[in-house]
Amino acid sequence: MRTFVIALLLLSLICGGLSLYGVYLDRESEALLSALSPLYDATIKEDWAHAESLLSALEALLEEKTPRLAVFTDHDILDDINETAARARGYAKCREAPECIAEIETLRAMIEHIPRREALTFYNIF
Amino acid sequence: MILSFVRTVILYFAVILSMRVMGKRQIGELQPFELVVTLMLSDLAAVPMQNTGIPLLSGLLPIVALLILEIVFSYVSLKSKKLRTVIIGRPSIIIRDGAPVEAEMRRLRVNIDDLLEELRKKDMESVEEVAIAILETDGTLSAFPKSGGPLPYTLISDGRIITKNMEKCGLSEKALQKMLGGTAPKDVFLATYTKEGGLSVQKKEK
Repeated sequence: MRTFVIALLLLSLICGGLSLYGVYLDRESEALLSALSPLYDATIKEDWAHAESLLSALEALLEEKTPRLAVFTDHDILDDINETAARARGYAKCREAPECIAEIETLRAMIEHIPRREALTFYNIF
Repeated sequence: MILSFVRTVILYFAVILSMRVMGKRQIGELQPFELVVTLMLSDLAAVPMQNTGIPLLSGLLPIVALLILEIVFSYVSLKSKKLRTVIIGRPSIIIRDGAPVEAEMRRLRVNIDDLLEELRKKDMESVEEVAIAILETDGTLSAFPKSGGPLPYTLISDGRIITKNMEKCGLSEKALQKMLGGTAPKDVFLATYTKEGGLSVQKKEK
């Protein structure tokens, strides 16, 4: 009986933890996306000094959040995000606006995908 | 490389712990649902062990989920006979009084060669010398020779009277109650009966 009760407690703990985890992923994704919007605007305006400082801030934010996200998210996805950010930085240094914008849009899609791929949806289950 | 090593050590202990919590039943003869859990457990541990790109928790969480399911199913099947029958199935008599029960053998898809092979493993040469052979829920065959005397009937199992066996023994509930004395059937863990030996009772632990 004791083992059964512990199992049920563990089950409710996991269910609760996973719900919180969904909220956590949404929040982290939102934080990263909000850092992307001004970067996108600065690149469109070709304000490269500002874009480069924003990219540095984004990379610092990624460095801060990646270890926690790696506990639950596929490491390959996080590596891809870091690589795309590095490519965007390279294009910003070379003042290549179209390529830089393309990389920023890729980053946006990848970051938006993090909570989406973990959501309890019909598409994800099957 | 070191990463794979550390992850393997962690998953090894997780699987060992799961098997220990699931109990000894998991290591011996397996029931169908236990076999499923064991197969899945090994596979779940192997994937994150080899692929370091997958978070360790992606391997550990399903193991814990299986562990919980196994405990819940074991507990529920312990408490409910109906659910036990659904999850585990029930033993089937495939030889009675020296003759194979063909209908049951067909239902279980057991052929006569398999049956004879199992009997030979139990040092029995022919079907005729078997009083009763039961195909247990874990797939093993229990066979009792005619020379061994009659098998006891289970009249009470975990506080429940098995009316089918009562009818086979020609006993009424009143007669059973009389044999039990002052003990109520719900307080009996196991009561077996043979015409020669009478009633054997094991009470539930308080």
